[in-house]
Amino acid sequence: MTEPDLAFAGIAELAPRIAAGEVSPLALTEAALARIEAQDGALNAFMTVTADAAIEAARAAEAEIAAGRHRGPLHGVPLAVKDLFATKGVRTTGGSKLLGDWVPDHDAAAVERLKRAGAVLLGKTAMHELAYGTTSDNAHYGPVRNPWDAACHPGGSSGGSAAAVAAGLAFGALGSDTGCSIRQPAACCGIVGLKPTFGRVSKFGALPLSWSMDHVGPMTRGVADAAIMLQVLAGPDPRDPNCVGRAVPDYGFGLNGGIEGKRIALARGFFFADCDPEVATAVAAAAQTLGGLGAVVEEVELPEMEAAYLVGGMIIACEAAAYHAKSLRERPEAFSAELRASLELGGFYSAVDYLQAQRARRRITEAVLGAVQPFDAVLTPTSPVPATPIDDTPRHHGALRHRNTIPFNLTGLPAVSIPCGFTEAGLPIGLQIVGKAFDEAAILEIARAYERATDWRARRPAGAP
Amino acid sequence: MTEPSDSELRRMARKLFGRDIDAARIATFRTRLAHMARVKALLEDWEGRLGEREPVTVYRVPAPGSGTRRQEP
Repeated sequence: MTEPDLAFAGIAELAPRIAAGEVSPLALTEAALARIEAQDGALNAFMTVTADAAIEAARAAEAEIAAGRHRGPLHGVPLAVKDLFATKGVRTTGGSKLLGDWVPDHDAAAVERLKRAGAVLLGKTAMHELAYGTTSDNAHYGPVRNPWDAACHPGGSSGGSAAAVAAGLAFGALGSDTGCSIRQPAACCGIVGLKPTFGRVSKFGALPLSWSMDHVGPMTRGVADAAIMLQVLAGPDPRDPNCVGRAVPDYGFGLNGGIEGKRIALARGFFFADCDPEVATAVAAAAQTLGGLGAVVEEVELPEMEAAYLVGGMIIACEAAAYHAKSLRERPEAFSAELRASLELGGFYSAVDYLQAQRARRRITEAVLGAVQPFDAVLTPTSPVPATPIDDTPRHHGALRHRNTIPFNLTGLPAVSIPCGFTEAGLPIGLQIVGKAFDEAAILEIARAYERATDWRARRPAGAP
Repeated sequence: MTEPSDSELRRMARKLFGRDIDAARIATFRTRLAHMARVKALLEDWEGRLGEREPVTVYRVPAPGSGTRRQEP
């Protein structure tokens, strides 16, 4: 394997070679740091690069593996972490000036789990300010750029994680998703982004945007890699009151099986309204491909989606306004004007409005669970629109970028975005696969079957060596 | 997708906040204001459709050791 091939290899391919001593964690880490050094000036994907700590962790991993103590498939694998996860001794800004010099004295649960699995953490990735936005164009730290076209945004809020993985600067990354923030940047950057079921992965130590809508999950280049990361991340944690104690299945089991007879719904209507024609065509073609693999694909309309979109956005606005109320009152200058306006407006909803929204949420969830029940998975475009130029983004895209994803933050159902094509301009398109609660395994199996049947994953951004 | 005019936004603001807000605030809130008006209208429309439904869980007895998601910076 050449150096660039190695940089774009999947975790699932690397893991057995690392375990066998054929690939050196130290060499992988040094190569990743060299790629960051060479490319991140243009991409702005990283807020902080922890080169010394990464080299030290890689050396330790290499020594342990050589001594016969291989911890598992993430051991010695260089990963990146969105800058809203607390990292002990490493600045954690949340993409804000508010926390510009915060150095936590503890790790977030997800970071703890990655470290325990032996992963090598390369640094913290850039993001939309305090995770409240969908482009990663950050008023304080500048825009993150899309590796497929540096003039374009990478999506958000986990734009730095998506750009880093797409450009081969890291083999995977941690993201968080309150309305779209793992899946939509994954779609914009041509990678895999998994939002697990609410409560599947601990949020302890992740800076909140909206307590009842936030999710933590992996961003990777391949589906099997996402399964490997989820295996490490999933599980109970009493420090997160919403994290559940359910047993964690083996996400690798059955991953490469067939999907004959699986019932898959293609959700029309709401999800295709105002959809870019190239996106609509690619997603319809993906549904056909899955049909060709033996799945039974039917068209459906999920109920109450417009309400889910509105109620979801409102709950985020209220919870974000509550979380940041003190800071907004005492240090308004620490927020960008855009974010300040969003938070101020969230504060104008009443307690009655919020509770009615949470009652509506129960009704919407009941309706969606009923509609999803007969199916193994539901397909939608991840985002109705691909990435657009940072300096020339149509204003109405602001309402579209999270439209197709936020219903599954509201309902808490698991959803994964995988690449399903490219626009004529060469920008990636994402397919969202939604599953039943706690059945991440089913959507990963379907995603993997699609990935094996297509060659989107083999493409690399033109600027990438 | 057409955007509301300034006069429509002023009318929306009056209805939402019960008072006039200045032009600078209107400009700042712009698309968010229209969104907020849609949300309020939806919630009003749904008042009769929610039956005896309670809100999704906003409280349960904490398990021992459960705490906050992060320590304050």
